[in-house]
Amino acid sequence: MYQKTKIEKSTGVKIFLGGIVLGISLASAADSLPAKKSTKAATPTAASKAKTAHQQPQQQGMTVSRETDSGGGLQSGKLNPAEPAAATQLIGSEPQAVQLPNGMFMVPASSEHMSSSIVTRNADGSLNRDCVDGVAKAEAIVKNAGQIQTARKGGSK
Amino acid sequence: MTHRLLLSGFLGATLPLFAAATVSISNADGPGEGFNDPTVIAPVGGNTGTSIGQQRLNVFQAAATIWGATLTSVPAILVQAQFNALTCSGSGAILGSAGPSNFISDSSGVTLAPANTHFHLALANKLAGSDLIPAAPEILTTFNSNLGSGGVGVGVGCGFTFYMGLDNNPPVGQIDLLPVILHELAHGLGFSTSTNGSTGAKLLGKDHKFDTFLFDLAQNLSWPAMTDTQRGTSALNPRKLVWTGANVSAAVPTVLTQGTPELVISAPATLAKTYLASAFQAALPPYPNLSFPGVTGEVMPASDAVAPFDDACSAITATSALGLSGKIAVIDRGNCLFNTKVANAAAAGAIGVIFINNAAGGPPPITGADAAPAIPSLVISQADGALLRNQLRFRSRNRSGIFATVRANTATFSGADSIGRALMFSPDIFQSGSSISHWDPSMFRSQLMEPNFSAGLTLSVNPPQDLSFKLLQDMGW
Repeated sequence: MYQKTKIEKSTGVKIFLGGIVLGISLASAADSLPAKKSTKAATPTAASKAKTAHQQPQQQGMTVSRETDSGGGLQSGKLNPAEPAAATQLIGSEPQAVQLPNGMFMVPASSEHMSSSIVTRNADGSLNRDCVDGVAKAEAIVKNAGQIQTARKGGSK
Repeated sequence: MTHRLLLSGFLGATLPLFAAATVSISNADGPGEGFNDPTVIAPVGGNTGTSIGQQRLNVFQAAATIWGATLTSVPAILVQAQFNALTCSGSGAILGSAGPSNFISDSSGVTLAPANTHFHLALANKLAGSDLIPAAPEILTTFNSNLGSGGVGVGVGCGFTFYMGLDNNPPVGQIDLLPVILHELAHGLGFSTSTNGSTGAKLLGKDHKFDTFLFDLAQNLSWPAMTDTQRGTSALNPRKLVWTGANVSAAVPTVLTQGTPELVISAPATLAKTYLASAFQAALPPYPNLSFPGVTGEVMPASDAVAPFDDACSAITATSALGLSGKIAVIDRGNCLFNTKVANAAAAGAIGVIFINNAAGGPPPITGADAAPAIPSLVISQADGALLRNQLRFRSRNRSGIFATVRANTATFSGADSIGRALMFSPDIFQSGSSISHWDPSMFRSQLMEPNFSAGLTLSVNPPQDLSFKLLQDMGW
């Protein structure tokens, strides 16, 4: 039912709208437009809301199941639609697998599956650019950057 | 309000790029911010945008174009992107984050093999030939809006600046945004795993396709065959984890330079073995000061007159120089530039230098502003250095009985094992949070998917410059 939206700018790039569905989702999302940037993550804009990974399966009649850690038995149940912010809060909790109509399983990635590029400044002013696993680790490294900068790889000393 | 949102929706355009694969950027920013920031800015480095928002979008589009021209996929790849205010201070900043939105597994193993193995959604779609989750973007990414752009915002609140040009030519001190996005998108496409690199634990008990190509040389096991504990150990054993994919292995001789820095100690017997080492990246290739068979000599410490006395940041004392002449100097890392240390050692008559790292972990490549060293030089780990220092306690004024060779082993490729398999990043501490989802930084030439961004990086994701796409091909792309 939903089609990927491809929009053409007036400069000549082709527009492929998701048609009615996009229009509906734009309109229905209007009232939740964040007034402040700080609320953006919890209330996605139309573009993100039109294709949010964590909220659509139920709407498409997918079977929602929880797999055990062994990958064995499944426990059926309902999966609460989760906005990106809610998904982030799932860190540390048991992830849920959702069975797709074709029988495959999907598991939403969490922020620990995100890779983060960071920059830190060496004592001599040069920069280190690194990629680390997980948003939380990236935050910790950046916040401690001043204390460890002389011992990090990539430095010139 | 509706009007504003519709405007945002259109500005949040998903712009198709017609190539072997369609990689589209979905703008998730609100009006007036992020990709929609109207702040006027001058075009730079081939980026014709005249606002910060447009320039940001142009850089993302350029990255999408590169990957779109490289990959083949019938289903489109949607990248949900936004700029938010992320952590940034004078000493460090998060540039941006990216990853897959979902992992997909197939219990039958027919479409996604092996069975019950996680795949990134974008790759699963490609292999299935259809969009498995039409409602979901394949890749999620957020970049930091606190960084200045093209001279705007420099020093305001943050002190770091993105270079918005598309020409791979950033001014000194600016951060080239395009390769950062290219790198992060690669993670979202499949250059990462769902398995925890710290604990070795599998997500819901399933391997990731990425894991099936990881082989540990020390344990002689592939990752899927290991226990969680074994995987956790494997992730922390430097230069013992290789990628077994055929596409990468075939490309290694084309992409990587021959020669691996090594410290070989031949005596005393208690220390005799080959030690992991890193060299000056600026000296590569072809190791003008680090060659095969290298330099061989007795090892002695280099001491100066200013505390700390073992860092060679000042002129070597006359007494130390008497014992050091014609020998290989041992110097602690830290407190001044590498080149200063090397120059002081060379002035005292040393024929080579062994640097001892000043932090736990594998020996780091020596990068930064230093030029090529005057005499053969390499870095060993802090742990190996401690062994060396301990033995040096038994030296006389001019003899240590420790004999070593400082060399580049040209029988191997820089960043590959003895039979040409690419090394994955597995430092002996979980260094900087980076993990096996990167190449080992001993690779040369510099690779897009190393955990650090090295000098000499190009915007290519293909041989002869880069191995990124070859790894994705091994994965199924």
